[in-house]
Amino acid sequence: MLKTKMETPFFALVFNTFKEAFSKKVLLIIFIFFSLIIILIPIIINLDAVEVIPYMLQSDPSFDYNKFIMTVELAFISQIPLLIVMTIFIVMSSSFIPSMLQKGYVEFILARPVSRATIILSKFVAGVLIIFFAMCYIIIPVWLIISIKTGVWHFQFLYSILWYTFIFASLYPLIILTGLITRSNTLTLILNLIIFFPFSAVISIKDTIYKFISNKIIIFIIDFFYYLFPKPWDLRTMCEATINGTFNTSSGIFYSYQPIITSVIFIITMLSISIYYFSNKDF
Amino acid sequence: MPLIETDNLTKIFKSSTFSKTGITALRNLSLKIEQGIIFGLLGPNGAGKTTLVKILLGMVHPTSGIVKVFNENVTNYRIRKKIGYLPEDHRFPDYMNANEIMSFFALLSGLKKNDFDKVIRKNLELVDMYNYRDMKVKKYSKGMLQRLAFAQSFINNPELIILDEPTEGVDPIGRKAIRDIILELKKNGATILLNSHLLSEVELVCDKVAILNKGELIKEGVVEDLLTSADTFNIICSDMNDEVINHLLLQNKATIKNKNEFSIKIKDYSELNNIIDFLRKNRILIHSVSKDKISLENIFINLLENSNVKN
Repeated sequence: MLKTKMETPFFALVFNTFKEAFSKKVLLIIFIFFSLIIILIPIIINLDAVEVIPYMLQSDPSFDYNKFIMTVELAFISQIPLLIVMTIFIVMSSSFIPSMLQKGYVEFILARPVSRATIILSKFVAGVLIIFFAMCYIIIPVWLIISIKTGVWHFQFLYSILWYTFIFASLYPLIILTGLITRSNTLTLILNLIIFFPFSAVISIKDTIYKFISNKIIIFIIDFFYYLFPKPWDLRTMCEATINGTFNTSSGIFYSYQPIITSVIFIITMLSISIYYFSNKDF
Repeated sequence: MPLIETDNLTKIFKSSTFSKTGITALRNLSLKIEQGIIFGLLGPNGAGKTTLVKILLGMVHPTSGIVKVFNENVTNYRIRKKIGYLPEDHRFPDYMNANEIMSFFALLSGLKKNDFDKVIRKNLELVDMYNYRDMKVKKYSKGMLQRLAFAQSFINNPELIILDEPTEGVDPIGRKAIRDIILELKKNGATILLNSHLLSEVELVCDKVAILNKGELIKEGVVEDLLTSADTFNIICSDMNDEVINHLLLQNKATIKNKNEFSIKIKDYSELNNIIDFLRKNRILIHSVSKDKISLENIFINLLENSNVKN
């Protein structure tokens, strides 16, 4: 029944994007890289030098074993892993649209009884699902290894799968739109790496920048871009807050859902623009 | 009711989004294509044939005019469920094999796996590709790619099949096989729109043709009528002597092909009868009298030359 329901043009496009991703070396590199991490973790935590760390710290009366394990887990989703993982994901996904738009291939797709909106949405869903599975592939084994070894089961750590998938989902519509406009893997990749990392990293520390700037126009421009674009760094901090239990509590860092709401608006807006652009384009 | 209908269809490709000028690919094209025929679309490069095909498939948006397929606006993507298409200069993802490509396009056409498994086998066998179904397409030759592209064009049992250069890169035996399949598809009720540079091929399979030049329709008609010259007759007879040949040359300006055959351009049928009387008077046996046939290539070249002179 489910199989029959999935035999639709939408799922055909989703599965085809999966096939394409697997055919590319980038996804293979991701899995080798993640597999190495998964293999290395049990080796590292079984090293004598590592095993003694909690025992040494236990001499401190303020030492909390649970918090210590959480800190170890949070290290896997800190800024550097986010930067590495998202860069790899952007590299992988930046080719999805340009490869579909290749002359001679796009005609096959567009000649089918499928709306252009379905094509774009299927590409979006496929990209997000690939990243979701990739995150599951790394986070679940890491969590299992740490939990089995330490006996501390932080189920909240698994939320990072959803958060990282959402962070990617907030970046991906712009990758789709730039892919549609430029029809080039390289241009799409460069544009998105520039937009999301240096740019979003700068606007994410806007409060620090404001301490040094008094010009209202510059502040307005930074604010404008801050609210306009998705906020991968803020979302990562929110992810951390969700895991360590400080999200939306009196001691929490964030009291509003603004980064989530503006990112969702960004996703919807960018997808709508992409669909509009794609639907009106001659091929 | 025609299957395809265009009325004053115009397409101008703007050089940029905000540009007011552009290239006119189609100019006020009005065309009707009936159901169940093989319709040939001819024209030199840049005539607008591919633009017309792409408009019919909703890939290119017309600038003005009306275009209907199955009496529906082409913006309705659902009508493409009944359409098959083989593009020119096609490209398949090299990570797929023939089986995966056929399944993918069948699913995109809205078919279910249970329905298309047998069809894939049948289509691949028809184009002699079944034995290569599990081989990645990156290993295929140009001819194999073409045969695969042709096989996918009728995976959904379409009522309308649009073929852009279907025999490109295929050897003569393969071309014959493709021609036979096209005729078989027609026999099964499909309408075929054939866009080809190979005029001899068009001549062999098409019922009707339209010739485009610089985005305009310069000639449209039944192939048989176009190939038959209304006022030129071909006469085959027993051996003619020099006296008869000289008379035909001087009096009737005949074109002598050999001692037994000549063609003649007449003003009216009485002139033809006079020639027959003359031949019989000279004891020459008439074997056949038929309207002279001209090749599609000659018609095509003449029409294009005239069209270019007018422009």
